[in-house]
Amino acid sequence: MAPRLSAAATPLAPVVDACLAQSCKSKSAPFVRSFSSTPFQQKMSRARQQMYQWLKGRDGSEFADPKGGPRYLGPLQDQPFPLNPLFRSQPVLDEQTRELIWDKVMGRGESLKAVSAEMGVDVRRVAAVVRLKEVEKQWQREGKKLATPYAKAVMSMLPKTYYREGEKNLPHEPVNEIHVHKLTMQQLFVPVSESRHFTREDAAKAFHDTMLSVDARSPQPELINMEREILEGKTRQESLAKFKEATQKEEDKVARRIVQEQQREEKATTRVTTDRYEFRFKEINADDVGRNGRSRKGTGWRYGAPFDDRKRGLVKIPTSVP
Amino acid sequence: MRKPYRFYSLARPKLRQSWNKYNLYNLYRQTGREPQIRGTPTFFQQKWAAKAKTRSYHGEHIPEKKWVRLFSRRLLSAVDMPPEYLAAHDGSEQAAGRGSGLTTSNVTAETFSKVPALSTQERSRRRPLFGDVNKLLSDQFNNMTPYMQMTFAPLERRLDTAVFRALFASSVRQARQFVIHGAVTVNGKKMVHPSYQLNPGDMFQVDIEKVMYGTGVQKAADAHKRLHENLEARQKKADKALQNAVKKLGGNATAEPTAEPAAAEGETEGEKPEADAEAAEGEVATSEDAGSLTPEAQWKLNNRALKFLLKDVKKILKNNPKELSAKEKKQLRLFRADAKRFLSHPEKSEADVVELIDELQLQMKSHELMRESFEKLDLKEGQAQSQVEDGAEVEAIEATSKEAEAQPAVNREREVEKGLEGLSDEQKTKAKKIIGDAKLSKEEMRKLARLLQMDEENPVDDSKPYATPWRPRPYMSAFAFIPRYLEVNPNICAAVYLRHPVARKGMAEVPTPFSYLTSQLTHNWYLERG
Repeated sequence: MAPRLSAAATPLAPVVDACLAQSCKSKSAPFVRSFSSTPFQQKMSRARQQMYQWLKGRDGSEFADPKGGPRYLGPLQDQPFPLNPLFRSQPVLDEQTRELIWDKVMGRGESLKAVSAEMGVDVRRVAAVVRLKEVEKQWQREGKKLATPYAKAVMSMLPKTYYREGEKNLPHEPVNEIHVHKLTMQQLFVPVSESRHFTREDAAKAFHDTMLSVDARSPQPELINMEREILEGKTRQESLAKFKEATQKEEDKVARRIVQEQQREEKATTRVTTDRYEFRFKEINADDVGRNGRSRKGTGWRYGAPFDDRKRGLVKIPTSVP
Repeated sequence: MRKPYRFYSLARPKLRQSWNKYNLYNLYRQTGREPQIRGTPTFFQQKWAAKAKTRSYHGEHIPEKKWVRLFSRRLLSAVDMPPEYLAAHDGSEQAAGRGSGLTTSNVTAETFSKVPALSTQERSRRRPLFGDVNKLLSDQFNNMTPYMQMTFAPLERRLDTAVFRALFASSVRQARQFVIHGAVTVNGKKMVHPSYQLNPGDMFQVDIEKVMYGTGVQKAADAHKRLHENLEARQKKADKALQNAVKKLGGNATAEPTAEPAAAEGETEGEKPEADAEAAEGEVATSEDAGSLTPEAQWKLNNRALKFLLKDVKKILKNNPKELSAKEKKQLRLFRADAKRFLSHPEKSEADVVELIDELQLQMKSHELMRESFEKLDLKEGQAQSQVEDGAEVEAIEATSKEAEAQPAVNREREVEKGLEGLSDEQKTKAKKIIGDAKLSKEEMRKLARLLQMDEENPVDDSKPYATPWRPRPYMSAFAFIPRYLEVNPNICAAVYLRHPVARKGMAEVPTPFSYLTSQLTHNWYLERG
């Protein structure tokens, strides 16, 4: 937008005069000249007036420079949108808690599921926190500058959950959340005899033959087992140790599988290092391309098979990034 | 899509995905509410109005055709199933006694949940409106899963929206620009398509500079004019004073190498401390350049420089580091520039704070050592000259400083007292001043390093496209929330898209400023049924 002329010049002629006078006067800077000679509207519209009144008033100025701690528009403490009480600003993990999660997983070698169950944080979030922290640590090692002032400001504006070791803490979020399956969103009327013990498994079967029950779809089945053992009369400590061992074993298994995969891959490739490149050769099977030569499993481009990657009408935006 | 004319309007207000103050005001005066029913608007009219309203907020930059393709009538939700409940009950208690007229047990999964509930605490200041239809209607929705609020969930998967939701940009359009300009990576690979649909587990990362630019206060044209003027003036004065001092001291050094400096010092200290400070200011500049001087004169030059350098800092260090005034902050910045000059770093160099402090410490130590050697010489000639006041003073200092090297800082005061036993009160104060001026204790040094480090975190830097030191832009706090489907690490400006947004009992994860009724009408519009 072109800069507007300053204040009290409503009619055009004085403005032009002023411009001329100014340009004549300042010989040192002949190019200093305003672009527009239209005077701006002197009267502020009522709506704008009211807006500035509000912004400069008590409420608005509170938002302009917050005193620390979250402050939202809505009538409720954690409600950012005044009209929508169904959306709330939920707390995030604070800096120390994230550091603690990273330490537990990377430093002390606890399993993700055990950390998740102990701290009341979703397993996926635990993994994400560790992943992001790893990047942060790498940056620190490289001497790359972090966005500290930004992070401080943002964290001061958000509600936070704290987890302190050795204290009584509230869970951050439910750790055993189950997606509502599409098949279960219908209302079913299943006639069942009154004497029958109709469990969750039966209910799942009633919706669909292949439908799994909640217990089978749980992200934390070991935790359910642990609770069951406690109800059967074992001590909490004992079953907790067992739970930790089970999750650790499972995680070790996954880790071992990944290592094996890498080793197999390594075995199949031959590396030839020249002074500029490292060539990696792998055995391929020419039959992988399938009968029409266009199977996704095949290697390379078949002679005669057209490239589709630049065709009109085909979406080029990738659907996943490995 | 092109940005529409009058994007933020007060006359025909629309809500936008932005932190703009017009938008804040529009949100405050409840622009998106359902209008009072006047006349008999048809269902179609109501739907149309609701759709227009919501689309001006959700993906306003996306063509309608594209959004319609994205729309999904399958709305996701999740239920909390505490393991305690699953272990204790197998679900049969839900079916028991049904149909026989028995009241069943009130055991549900919800009663086992330990997750803290949403706050119901109202801010007391605002009085509730009488007969607020929107509120009355929305109260009952707290006990159900608000599926309708999930209508625009597919848009939350888009990369540009996720960047905005993670608080890395001040509007979706800005987030989109960041993506297009190549400042965003997904899983470490540059992604230039704002419409890329994030998959659960994708990590996206935005260039820190862009984030600071997007979320920081805008840069004013000549914000640091005063600071630069100050720095420039200091430099100029320094150059001038150095030449004078070199000339003067050079003459003195040849004429009377030993007695004169002490006398000169006494004189300047007593009579015109300001003039001394000004001269020393100059010597801060390049005291090491004066190679033509005798070592003693050079040392004196150095001493004055150090004294001046530490003059303001001492005052600052006495205060609480968290409550520095603007003036003190400025002094700290000036000190930094001076220290760089003193240690003959190039002015623009990006010296690390730790390095700077280490070097300063080294300089001080060598300075101390040099003083000791000079003072030994002094002592011999001082005896010959018999009782020169300052000679005695220097002797005392020498004794104390030797001890002080070994002793911890706590004992120092006492040591100084002991060393100065034979002197008059006036001399004592003078001697202490000399010790204090040109030297910082280890404690003070550490404190100074911490202060400088704090300043280093958020420095004044004119090369940045935002106002420095960085501050969050005004009205940001009203929009600062991070939905649970993202896990954000603001230190590196990166986030992980954990899962798709879901609805739960009493709350939906899609941030939308509209009420349930409006969303319902919108959803019905896109269902394309009558």
